[in-house]
Amino acid sequence: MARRVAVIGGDAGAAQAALSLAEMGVEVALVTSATSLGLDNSVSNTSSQDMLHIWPLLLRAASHPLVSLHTSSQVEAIKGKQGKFTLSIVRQPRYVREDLCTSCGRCSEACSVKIRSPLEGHKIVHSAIHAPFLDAKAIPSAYYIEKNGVAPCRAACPLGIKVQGFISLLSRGKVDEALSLINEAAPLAGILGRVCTHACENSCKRAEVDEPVFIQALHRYAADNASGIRYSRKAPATPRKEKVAIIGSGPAGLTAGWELARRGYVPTIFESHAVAGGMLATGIPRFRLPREVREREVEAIKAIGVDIKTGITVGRDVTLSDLKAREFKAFFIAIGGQKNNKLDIPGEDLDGVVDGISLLFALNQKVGVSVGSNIVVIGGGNSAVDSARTAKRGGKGTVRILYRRTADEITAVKEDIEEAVKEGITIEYLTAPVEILGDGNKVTGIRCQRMRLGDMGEDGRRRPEPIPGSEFVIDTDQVVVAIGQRPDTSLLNIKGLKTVSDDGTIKVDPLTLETNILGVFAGGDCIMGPNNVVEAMAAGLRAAESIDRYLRGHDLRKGRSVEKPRAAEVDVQEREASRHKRAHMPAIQYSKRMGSFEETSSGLPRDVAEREAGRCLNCALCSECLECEEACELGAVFHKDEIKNIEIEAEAIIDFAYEDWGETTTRRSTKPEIFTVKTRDNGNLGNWLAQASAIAMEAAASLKLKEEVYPAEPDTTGEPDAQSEPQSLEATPGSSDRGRIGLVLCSCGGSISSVIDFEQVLREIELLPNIYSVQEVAQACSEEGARQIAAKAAESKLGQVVLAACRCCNLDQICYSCTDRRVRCQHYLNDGLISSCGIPVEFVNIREQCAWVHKDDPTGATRKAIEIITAGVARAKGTTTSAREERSLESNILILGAGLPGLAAANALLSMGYSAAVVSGPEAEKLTKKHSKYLDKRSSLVKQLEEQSIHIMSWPQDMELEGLAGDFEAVLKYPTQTNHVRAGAVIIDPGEIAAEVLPENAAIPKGSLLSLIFPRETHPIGMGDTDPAMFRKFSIRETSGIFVVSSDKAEPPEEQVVKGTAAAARAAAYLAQGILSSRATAIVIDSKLCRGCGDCAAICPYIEMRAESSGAASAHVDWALCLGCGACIARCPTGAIFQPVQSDKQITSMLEALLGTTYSASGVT
Amino acid sequence: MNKPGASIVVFACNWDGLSCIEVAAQKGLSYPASVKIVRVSCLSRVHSGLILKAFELGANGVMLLGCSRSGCHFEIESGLIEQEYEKTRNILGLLGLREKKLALIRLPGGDGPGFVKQVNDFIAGIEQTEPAAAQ
Amino acid sequence: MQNIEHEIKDTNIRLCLDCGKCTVVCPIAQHDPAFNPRLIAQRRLSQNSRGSRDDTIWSCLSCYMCMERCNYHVKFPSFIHALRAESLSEGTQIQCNHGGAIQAMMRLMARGDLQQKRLGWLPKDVELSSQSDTLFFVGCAPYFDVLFSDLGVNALEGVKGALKLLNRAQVPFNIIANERCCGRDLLLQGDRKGFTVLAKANMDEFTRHGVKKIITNCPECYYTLKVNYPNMLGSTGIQVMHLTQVVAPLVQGGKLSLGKLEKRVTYQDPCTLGRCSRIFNEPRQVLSAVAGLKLVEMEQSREKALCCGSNSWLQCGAVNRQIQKQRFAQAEISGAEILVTACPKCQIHLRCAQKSSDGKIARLEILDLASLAAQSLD
Repeated sequence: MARRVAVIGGDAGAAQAALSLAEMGVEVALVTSATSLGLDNSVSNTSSQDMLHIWPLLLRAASHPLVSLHTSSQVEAIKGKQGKFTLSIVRQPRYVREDLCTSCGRCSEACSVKIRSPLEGHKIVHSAIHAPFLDAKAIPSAYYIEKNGVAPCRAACPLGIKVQGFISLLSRGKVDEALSLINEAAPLAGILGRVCTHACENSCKRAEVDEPVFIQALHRYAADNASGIRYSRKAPATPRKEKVAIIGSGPAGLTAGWELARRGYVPTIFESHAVAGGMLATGIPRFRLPREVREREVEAIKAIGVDIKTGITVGRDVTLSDLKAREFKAFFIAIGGQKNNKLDIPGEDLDGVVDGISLLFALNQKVGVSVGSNIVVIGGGNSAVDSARTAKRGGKGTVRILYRRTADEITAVKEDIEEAVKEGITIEYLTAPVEILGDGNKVTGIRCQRMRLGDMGEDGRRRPEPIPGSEFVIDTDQVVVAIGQRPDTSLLNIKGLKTVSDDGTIKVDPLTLETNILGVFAGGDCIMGPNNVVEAMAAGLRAAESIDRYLRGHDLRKGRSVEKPRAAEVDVQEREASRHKRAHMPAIQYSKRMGSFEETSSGLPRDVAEREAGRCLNCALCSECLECEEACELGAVFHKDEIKNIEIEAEAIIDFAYEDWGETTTRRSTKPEIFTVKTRDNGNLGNWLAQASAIAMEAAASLKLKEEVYPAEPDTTGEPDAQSEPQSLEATPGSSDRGRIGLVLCSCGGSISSVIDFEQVLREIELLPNIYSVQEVAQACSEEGARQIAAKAAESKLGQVVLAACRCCNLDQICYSCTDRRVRCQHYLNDGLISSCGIPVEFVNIREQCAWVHKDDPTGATRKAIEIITAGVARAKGTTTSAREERSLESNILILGAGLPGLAAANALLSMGYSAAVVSGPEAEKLTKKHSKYLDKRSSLVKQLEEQSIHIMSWPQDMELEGLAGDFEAVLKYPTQTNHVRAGAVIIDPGEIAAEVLPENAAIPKGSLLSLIFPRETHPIGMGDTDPAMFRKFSIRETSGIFVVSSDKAEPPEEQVVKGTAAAARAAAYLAQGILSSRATAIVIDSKLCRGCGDCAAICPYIEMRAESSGAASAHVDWALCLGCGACIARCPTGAIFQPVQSDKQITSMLEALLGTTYSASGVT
Repeated sequence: MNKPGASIVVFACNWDGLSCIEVAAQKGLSYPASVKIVRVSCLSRVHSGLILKAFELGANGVMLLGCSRSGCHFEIESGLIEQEYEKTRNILGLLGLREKKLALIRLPGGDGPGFVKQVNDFIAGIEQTEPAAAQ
Repeated sequence: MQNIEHEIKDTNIRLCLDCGKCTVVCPIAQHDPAFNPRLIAQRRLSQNSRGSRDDTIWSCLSCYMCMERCNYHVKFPSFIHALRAESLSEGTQIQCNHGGAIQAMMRLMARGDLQQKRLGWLPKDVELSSQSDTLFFVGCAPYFDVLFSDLGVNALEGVKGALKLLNRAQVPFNIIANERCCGRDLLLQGDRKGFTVLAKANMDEFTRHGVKKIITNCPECYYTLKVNYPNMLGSTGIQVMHLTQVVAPLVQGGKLSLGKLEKRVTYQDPCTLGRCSRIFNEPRQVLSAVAGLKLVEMEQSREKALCCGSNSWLQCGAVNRQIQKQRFAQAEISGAEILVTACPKCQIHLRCAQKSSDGKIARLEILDLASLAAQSLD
């Protein structure tokens, strides 16, 4: 059973510890709060060059099969004790599936939101969906959406319209998409864009910079400029057979019908008027809401299956029981308010006194209606202002509005009031009518009194009180009473329907809108009293949800709330918005408005609208316009991601994020069992990695690993690992015929195929000799993709596969360009194709090298793709299938130098069960009292060793290191005896032995194996410098088995112990491989072609010239030491040296393919 | 951007060199599609035979793209490729093929914009002296 | 490939009696048992179809040693060249020395629009006769000096020496800037097409300049222009002479007197000049004309001279080095201070052999015959 350690932290140190442990055979859960490995604070001080070099380490750690990486994950609590810990982890949503995202960036391009973030001291602009760091280089290479809750505008919207979403779409000119997004939440956009009371604008954070965004105008812009209304959902609902009756075709009824139709029902709306729309048709003047706009949107609602029957009054023409009898299963009463409220003052019956609704209805729907010449409108609501403005347009006289409170309390929309005033209407605030005067028949005037605001009333508003003795008379020939309406349920004739006694509204459950009668729901003005269009529509939506649940027999209450979502906190300062004036709505000149009912405002022109949309601060960051979901062909984006709670069991915990712990977290623990790194050495990556290795070693020692990983019998190490053996050869159809090559094209979820013409590529590549199959996959770097490729390879009996995707090579190294996905791609193919079927894969990068970089030249990109694929096929054809070299690793370690690092390394290795031989340096005894701390530490380490019967050998008179990497043999010559020590790895402390011994000293003769290797390993562990040799180990694997650790007696003893332990960790991880295999890039020397000139040996420390039996010199190299740079190949005059993965012949064939095509295509030949 | 342009072979070292090319693509930069990349383990792997072969096969220019002088992943002395570069340049000189057709460029890792600038300048230089190559 | 079969027939290979004398004298076969001229012939002849996949054909040095011994005058080198052409036509990618740089260079020279700038080395005091119908064909020396500068190769010294000798002898000649490689190495390695393009380009150039006579310093250029060009393109009407053929009669006739050099030298007969072109005496006559110069012969000389070890920039490994080692041993035994050769390629290969990591190869000086003779004039 695998052992498990949890490593908390996401920096290079955490990665190093995780990798060390994984290489020792331990399962590691690597938990970081950042969205990508390597994004922790500790590396922010690291230069970008170092970052590049550290990348292979991070990728190796993240992609190790034994490491599971948990990003965006915070450890909330740790329970248990050493040997059995449980970590409670909270994972923040990423909104992107790590297993599918390829970082192709199409979502980011589609994203309508741009955010400025700080990076290395300056601001970078990126999309709301983005890779947390360096785009494709994130680990895991998955994008991430930055969200900040619900934007205040959306939170304020009764319909929950994604206001920021449609605005961001408009800012990019995506009008159709904007309207569709609006219509996801609600219909009637053209109406809302004109008459909505826009709570959104009132909560717009832009007001803190200058003025709110002109949301309503943008809403209207979307409705007016989209190519059409598409109300149906993308995924059509399954049709429902239950019939639903809606009474009233006002905004509540229409919206309920719309929503029910979208849910698969066929609702029927009964409307008593001849025209559908309720107040929209009869109550709102045409100069604010043109008939065509209303009709267009009502028609669109009918078009999705809402049946509207006009001229039918339910209760009179047809009763509820009739409808029930006709199989109507649910009812929604949305009759609004028809009864006008009365002033209850004398003179209300006089001729010339009308209610606002009647006046509006008459002027809206009839012709030849005359109005008075001196009109007084009473009321402060929208219908009062509408009445006044309509009356003003209908006549030639004066219009004044009387309102008993102040301008602050008036409920009509502010802009409409301003327009009214500009149109010549006067408003008398704090004025209430007392009596309407008349000549007994007709109105002649109105007596009013001045008011003042008194105490707070029950409705939360200050109550107006008359000012005694302030009465005065206004002459008038028409009084319009517009102080609201109440519903009249009596007409409905529904027995037992409960109403609220004082205003006649229907009594409903505010959450579900159920009335007291089962199956009957009510909403809109008939339950709320006079309100506005948007609230009525919201009621329609709520009712539809309830009716749907009711008809399906679901719980009507579960998961619902009357509460509005909480608006996100927004730091407006952070958005760094510069001031831009709010757009101005163009309108007809005031002089031209009178006598006409033409729409007053004419809508924003395109440039103004787009500029206005650009004023949005993107409060919620991601606007949830969902363009990214649309753009991602792989289905990797999902906005419904949620916080997840995970529990991880671990035997030991290493915590690198120790210093980042908040005050409140419960895991701030001083438990000694949790390994923490004591000092954080910022900017000194070398030391930091050494500490990480050392702590991994301590954790590994605590698990007593060696016994687990290597069973007691050391003799078995010579046998190859059964798991790495290829499976039976029967399962490898055609694998013997390397000449049968198959091409796989990866579309990368459209990222490649959207630029490159795959059809053309396939057509041309198919013509190549050796190509036996062509195949297109959506995502080669997924398990599914690998499975498809393997299936096709078996079917077509392929011997090789050329995969044109984003990966560039089939080497096991990780270079600076490598990405998480490319490594995964290799892993999946390794599992599914290479190791099980023995079919090698040649990679061609047509993403970065074609599709991405030649996006603006698809023809050129396609041509080039064909060329580089042809080159890849040529390279595949030239692949020599020389078996990789292997040798078993000795599990003994030779330690040269018994300073603190050497002793600490020996102790650490012994505690893991390895055996070690320690040779003391020649200077070991030259220490004085001023090193007392050092000496104390030293003697305690020596004692520990002696307890395990390890005795330190003294420095020999002569020493030779023979053998090969991984299987060294040291010959130590003493005056009386000669010791032979076999070792798989060597730890050298030049601080202890260098001064006299290296490189000149005779004890390690020049030309010996050690002196070959040592110069290349002069970058000791924990030296502090970020040096290439150290990083190279991560990119191309450590194979030499020589670990250099430098002791410096001036350093604190603890630090020297850390370094030694770190070296032990590296050595242990190296030996844990059991078998050392050559790098694919290792060179091979053809002794027949070698003419012994020595040019290669002159530049490579690992190549040596040896005398053959014939006496001639010939070049030799231990494959384990060759780093694979290939410099020797360029030096060799005869081509005796070659790399199987990049022979001259392969490169030449590639050049022919790359240049041949254009050569002939452009007619140069 | 649809003209084929001068045919360029870039021998790019696997480490810093290739990372520049990758970053260029990932940053959404662009260069003509007639630029072909040949990845090698290290620039020191490239010799005059390969460079001349590229010219023989019709390349209008060859760019050797590697790490900065001291930044070699393998710590190979930069003198090796420089020798090879000088030698090949001299051969090209004798052949009467303008020396501009071969460039040795060193860039720090990840310098996508740097690479795009270099390759575009290189192409411009070739097209200036050899207008036929632009077709 | 009909003509390949013809070519093979023309080599008299069917007359081979399997006697094995060729193998006995073949310098490659002496060190590499896998290379066996007799068996190569046998294998090819026993095949019913083409498709020779005989990897050993690339090792032949074209040194013509085998022909010296063959009683039936089988043209084994030509046979090998035909097999190579056949193999290339079947798509074989061959291993070229120096990463194929020289082959690439040769093919680049085949370009029609080539405007070489290869005369930068030409000393100011050299007198050219632009009206002369005699051309001094420089060959690839300027290129070799760049490619092999690290070996200390100085083939142009030989050319300069040749020009100096001709000037001194008042032999008028011209030099043309845009001569191509003669193409011999492409021909020998089997690239007939590449060779023909180069040959045609050169012939065009010769015609343009009204060339009637060509003098070369390089034996390979000499033989190629003299024999291979007419074979491939029909009669050229141009007389081709090796420098030594021009100079030897002059020094012997007293029309040119050389200076003095107190040196002990030995002469490396280049295979193409010696066995192939039968020019053995002229070089020796030129050397003998230098006062004080003592010419000593190596154990193998003239018809039996040992090859410099490499040819047509193919396959030059441990075996070739053994041959070179042997040759140096012979030179050392002869007691010479200077190894003189009349071929720039011998110079290159022998200098390369001297760069040995085991230090067992003689360090004697290697000089071009023309440059040595010209030195004596100073």
